[in-house]
Amino acid sequence: MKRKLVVGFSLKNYINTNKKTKKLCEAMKQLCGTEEQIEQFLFPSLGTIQAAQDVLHESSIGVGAQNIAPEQNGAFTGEYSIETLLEVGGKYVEIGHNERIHLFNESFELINQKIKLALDNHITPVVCIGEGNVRLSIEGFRERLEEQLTHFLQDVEIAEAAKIIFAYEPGWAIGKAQAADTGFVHQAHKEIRALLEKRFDKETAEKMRIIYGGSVSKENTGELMSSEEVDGVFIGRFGHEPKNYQQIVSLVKNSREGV
Amino acid sequence: MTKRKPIVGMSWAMRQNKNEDALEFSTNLIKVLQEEKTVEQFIFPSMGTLTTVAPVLKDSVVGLGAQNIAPFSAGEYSGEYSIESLMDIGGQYVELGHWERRKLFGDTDEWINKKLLLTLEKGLKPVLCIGEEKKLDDLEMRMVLKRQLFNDLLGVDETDVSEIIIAYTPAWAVGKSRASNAPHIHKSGAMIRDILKEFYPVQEVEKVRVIYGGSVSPENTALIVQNEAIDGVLLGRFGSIPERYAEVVQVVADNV
Repeated sequence: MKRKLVVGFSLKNYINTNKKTKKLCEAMKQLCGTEEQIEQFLFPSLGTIQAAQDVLHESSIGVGAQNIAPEQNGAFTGEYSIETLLEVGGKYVEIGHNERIHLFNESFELINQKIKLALDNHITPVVCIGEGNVRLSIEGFRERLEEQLTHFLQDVEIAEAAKIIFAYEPGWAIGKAQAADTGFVHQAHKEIRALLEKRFDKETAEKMRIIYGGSVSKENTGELMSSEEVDGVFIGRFGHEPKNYQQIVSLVKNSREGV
Repeated sequence: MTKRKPIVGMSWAMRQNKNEDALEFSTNLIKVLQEEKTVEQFIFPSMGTLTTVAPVLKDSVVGLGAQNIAPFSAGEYSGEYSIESLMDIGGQYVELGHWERRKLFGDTDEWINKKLLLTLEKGLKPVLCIGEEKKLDDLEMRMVLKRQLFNDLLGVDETDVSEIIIAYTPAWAVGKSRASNAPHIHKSGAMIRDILKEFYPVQEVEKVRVIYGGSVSPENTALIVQNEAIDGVLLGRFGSIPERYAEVVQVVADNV
């Protein structure tokens, strides 16, 4: 099964003004905006989604929200609605990032609601999973991930499930100078796919993209991508320099050529 | 006693989420509003539409605010709205501690306090929502309000306290068909000011505006604000028609 490779990019709360966001998007568009072979998406800071979309809407780089409210509309003070995302033409939503769980007390139940809401609205959920801030043994890892997937994917229809992109983000490797070692990452991805097969079926699990996030750089992307289990990368601060972003995209693209 | 400027604020919560609708509403609102400068006004649009509403409100009598912000100005806070984005579009107010955020979205007093200090540090105005979840007797209510005020205002300098707007928004009256009754609102408003005097100098506390939110309408506004304990209202659903909002502003201007 050949899966389309992915490069995702989150600006978190690092670039928060419309002008700076547009500047970065212009550069990304110029460098990678016609690259169709790799599925690309950007999660701008929540207040600048529209500015990013204004620049990227006619490129091959999709725009998404780093978070949405659990329901379409209503009494949800301070939340970003999927209705706004749909209106501006956003196509992705990031759900369940480690920071949302640990800093903002997001429950598994809320995450599950958001995933279902995104699927109902034909928005691609980019679901972050991982063992958290402490490294675990492989058995501990399997147990933790199975628990997450069981809650996150409750009542998700098998026909819809293949649309989900999973981002494996070990909390202990996020924002650190060094990514998790690639051998571990490859094994982790394999375990995750096995869990997905258990939850859905082999055919569905084979279609799902599992990407890696956590201190991704041009130094480690080639190695991370050297396993067929890794369908792409999810980058952060390293991409703030557009040339770096471009390099990551081409490293991901080249990783499968000649295979 | 210091004469305080009355307030009409409005939050759309997450009810009007399309830029197209937000643009139409805010444009109409500016059209129907008189140049009523005796009342301080602000709107909290749905988070995704802030950028669209900002240019419409610019140079009008209505200020702009965010319903929530991240606790720090920048960094690793996936999915949060940064105060830098709000300042970038000229927003001046930040709503904090709404009961939906406390109850549904894990906003703790510690986070609310961080957000409030950040808002003050950046020179913006916090609109701090406090209130009891269920109806309580006076003694219990005072304890709840005191605990919220103590935790949420921790570390606020006495020179800054007058910048804060306190919105008494008891959860049991939010989103209902009727507001809490006027005597209860007046009693609570006075109680809040009284508690603040335990923490800050009287002359500073006298400058703080205490407003009421929870099923406010043009019909009940006069009763609510005809008491020196309450300096204005925070509208929700019932302000969603521009004419009704304008009516509330007029009622407040005439009665405070």
